[in-house]
Amino acid sequence: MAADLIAARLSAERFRERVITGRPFDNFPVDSFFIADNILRIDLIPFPNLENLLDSPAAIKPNLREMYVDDDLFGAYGDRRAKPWELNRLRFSIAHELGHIEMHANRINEVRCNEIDDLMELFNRKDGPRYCLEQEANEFAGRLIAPVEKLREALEGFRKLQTEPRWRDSAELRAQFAQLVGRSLGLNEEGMRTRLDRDEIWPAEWTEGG
Amino acid sequence: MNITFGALLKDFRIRAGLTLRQCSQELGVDPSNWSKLERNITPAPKAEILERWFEYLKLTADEKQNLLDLGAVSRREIPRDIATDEVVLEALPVFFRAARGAEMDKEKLTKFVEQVRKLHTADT
Repeated sequence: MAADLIAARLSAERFRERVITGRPFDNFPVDSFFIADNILRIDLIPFPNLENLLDSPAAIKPNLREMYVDDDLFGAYGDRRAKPWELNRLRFSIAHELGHIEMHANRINEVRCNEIDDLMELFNRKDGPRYCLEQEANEFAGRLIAPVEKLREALEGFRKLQTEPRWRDSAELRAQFAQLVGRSLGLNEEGMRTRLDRDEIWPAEWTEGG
Repeated sequence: MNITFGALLKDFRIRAGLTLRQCSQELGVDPSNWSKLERNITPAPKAEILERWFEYLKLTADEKQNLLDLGAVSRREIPRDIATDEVVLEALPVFFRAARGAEMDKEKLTKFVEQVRKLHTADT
């Protein structure tokens, strides 16, 4: 079984249309925290030390109505002193869990733990259904936070500023673009590079040595 | 189904356009404790405390009374027992975006489960 990344992208677009478009919070960066808490009314439960214990900033319960969020990141939300990368991480992690809620409600039993020790096996297994579902949720989150049309629009603006005819060959310019757009959309650089590749906006392979 | 204290509190917070973090911070309540209130794990605080929240949540006289009444019910009904293994099992996550290559060991798992239990048990 392989992850269905195309379905995940479409699912993110449908979610945006249904839940976000035209509403007062239809802004960038996408406020996934507000959407989960106030619009979808998910119970966000601050979880002490979650990142350290589970290696994950957020995790969702089988009822898909309650979500644990690392309490340090939880505290970063709405804090003007918070580091942008922390907020980006929180935003992406919650959007990722929203992807599970949106796409995987009928697949809970494939990944459910019936005993506490199952959790360790579930966590440490690097293949199987859980891995695919996590990939799909990542793709959902990436597309939700960085819609493809926003990326195209940003690239068009960037193109107009370029004077070198072969600007697309430059890995350095690509990295600059990823940073620039990442800052405005609230996505960390690695996530932005993934979007540039997957959405064929500016794949690394187009650059010299890429 | 009858509405509970926690569900009504959440309704009022969301109506006021506040996230859980904003609301708990402004009212000087630990976010974890506020989350327990909304999930009906912790009984409502005493009326004197609730009355301090009314203005912030912009409640009408009827709404205030309703919240006070449900608060009184929750203080009588919500048990303070430690969450059972069944509750913990239901509370284990199914999905989480773990860092690639990360491994969980028994010690971390034990601490994690202990924390889950605390989050589903009222503070005594």
